[in-house]
Amino acid sequence: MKQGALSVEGLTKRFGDTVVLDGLGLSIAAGGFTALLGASGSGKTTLLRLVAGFEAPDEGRILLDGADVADVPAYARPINLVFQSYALFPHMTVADNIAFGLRREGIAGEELQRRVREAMALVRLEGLGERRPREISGGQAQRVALARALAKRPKLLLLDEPMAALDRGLREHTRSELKRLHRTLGTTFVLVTHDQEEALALADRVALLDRGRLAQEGTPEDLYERPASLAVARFVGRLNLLEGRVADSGGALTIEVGGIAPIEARPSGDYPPVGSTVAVGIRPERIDFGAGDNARTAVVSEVTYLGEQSVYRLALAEGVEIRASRPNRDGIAARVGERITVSWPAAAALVFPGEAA
Amino acid sequence: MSGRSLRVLALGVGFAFLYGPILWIVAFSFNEGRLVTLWSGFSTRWYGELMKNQRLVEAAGLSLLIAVASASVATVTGALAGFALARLGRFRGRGLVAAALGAVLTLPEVILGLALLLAFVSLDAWLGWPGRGAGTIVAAHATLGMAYVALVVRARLADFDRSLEEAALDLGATPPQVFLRVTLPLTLPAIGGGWLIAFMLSLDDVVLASFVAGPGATTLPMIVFSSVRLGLNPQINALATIMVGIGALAVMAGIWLLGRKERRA
Repeated sequence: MKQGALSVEGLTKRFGDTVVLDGLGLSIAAGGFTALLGASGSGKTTLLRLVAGFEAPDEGRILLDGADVADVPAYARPINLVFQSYALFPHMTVADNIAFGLRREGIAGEELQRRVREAMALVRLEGLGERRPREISGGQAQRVALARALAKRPKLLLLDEPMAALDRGLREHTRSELKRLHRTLGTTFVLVTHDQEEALALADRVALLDRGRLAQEGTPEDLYERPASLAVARFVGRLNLLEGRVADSGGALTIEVGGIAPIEARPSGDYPPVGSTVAVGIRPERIDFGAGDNARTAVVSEVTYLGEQSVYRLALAEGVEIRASRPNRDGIAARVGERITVSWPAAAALVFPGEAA
Repeated sequence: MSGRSLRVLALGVGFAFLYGPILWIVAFSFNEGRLVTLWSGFSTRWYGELMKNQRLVEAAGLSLLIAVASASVATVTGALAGFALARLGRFRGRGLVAAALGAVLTLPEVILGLALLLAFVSLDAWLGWPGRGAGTIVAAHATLGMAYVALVVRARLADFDRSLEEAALDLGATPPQVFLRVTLPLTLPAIGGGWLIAFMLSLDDVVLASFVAGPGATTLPMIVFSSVRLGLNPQINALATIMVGIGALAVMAGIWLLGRKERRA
């Protein structure tokens, strides 16, 4: 059986009067790659520090493979953390940094050398062993931090915003490296990030935290295609939001939105009652240029060319604007000032009952 | 006159003001003649005479002993105080400790010396101890030095990256191991710098030593000070030159120790 299953139950942490974690419950399967996603202040970093053992919870339990680790001090938990700042020991060489955790387990001599070499090979750091942390680049420092944590062969590896200090090119490379490491080792990886793109790209499960609570947990596709709430939909990906009132719920939902023709929607799940206020969300890439469901004319008010795709700002009526994104396979599809027909499938509209946009 | 030459002139005047008198003493320590204001030729004879002056050599030995002892006491106590102020959170009496250490730094040395003298005399009247001598000078210098060491150590710990300690903890080091293998090695340059400051403070102190010294314990600065009152003497110039040399070495060592942190960051 795979090890490294983490679950937290009723986890609460307060700092003074501020409730940072509010009865959080979450399960993370062994061997998976989970992203803890959230804005700053969502409690994701606090959760990480509680799991690592740097802070003690006020209430609730933290279970690793079913055993409560509340009384296990940080140094005895089979959990290792890659710090956002990497936290490499400046007075030690790269090899000694990696050996630090192994030495604490009493590993020495030939075995120590072998484990250090192994960890360095894993992250492709060969030949840098005698360098000091100040003599290596940011990307290399990150790999040292990874090697140092992985050398301990933890059941659970925590990654705190690992890409934050890297430039764009290095980030893409690091992403595939992390995926490769996760495939090779089978260790449970938990990534903490505020960057939804990073969470979607890396993780096979995403847990979105919002003000100390779990907003939604699922695959990246679940969160993007089937957000549980408006907050999730707004945080993950881009969204056009319109506020309206349900006029009819026979067949498709008909939603009246001020200033434009009523919107037809076929959301999955129960329909909200007639007369109730709803928020309607449409992802920019679901908007088609041409006839179809919800067809209407729009005036292009702005075109942003982004290379592989363009983003069009479309005025549906006075004061009602939406954004559509189209791949540039056949060049730019519409020019500023052009009047075009746009549409979107009734099933593409996300409907959130009782919430104001 | 151009701006550049004006700046060079200002720099020259500034340096002359700071170092002119010292260079004058260094130069005249190599003077042949007995007069300290009239150059009569190069000679190292005053260094030779200095070595033969038993009283000065003994005082120099005592001064070094007191400086090493008081700096060591000051370093241990000051480093502990620095750690307490930087790391123990808002414990009861924290403000008092910080203020008390600050007071030692700002209090006129005359007041501090007088207070220490009164304390030693009363203590002596009660307990018949500690008397007055090298021991009381060490205690007085350690008091002053400790405040400086605490200041330096506290400042170093204030910008210490706490995630380094958390990383060590995370990697399996117990709290004592974290301290010995991460916190202490990275604070050591500051502690060493603090020791050097305390050492130099003790080595050139006249005021505190004059208050608390007994008849049996005379430090080098006390002799220099009292002999200058009786008239200038080329031996003192030679002695001063040696002390300037030791001081310069200590300052350079201190800068090197405290600056090491920067290159590491």
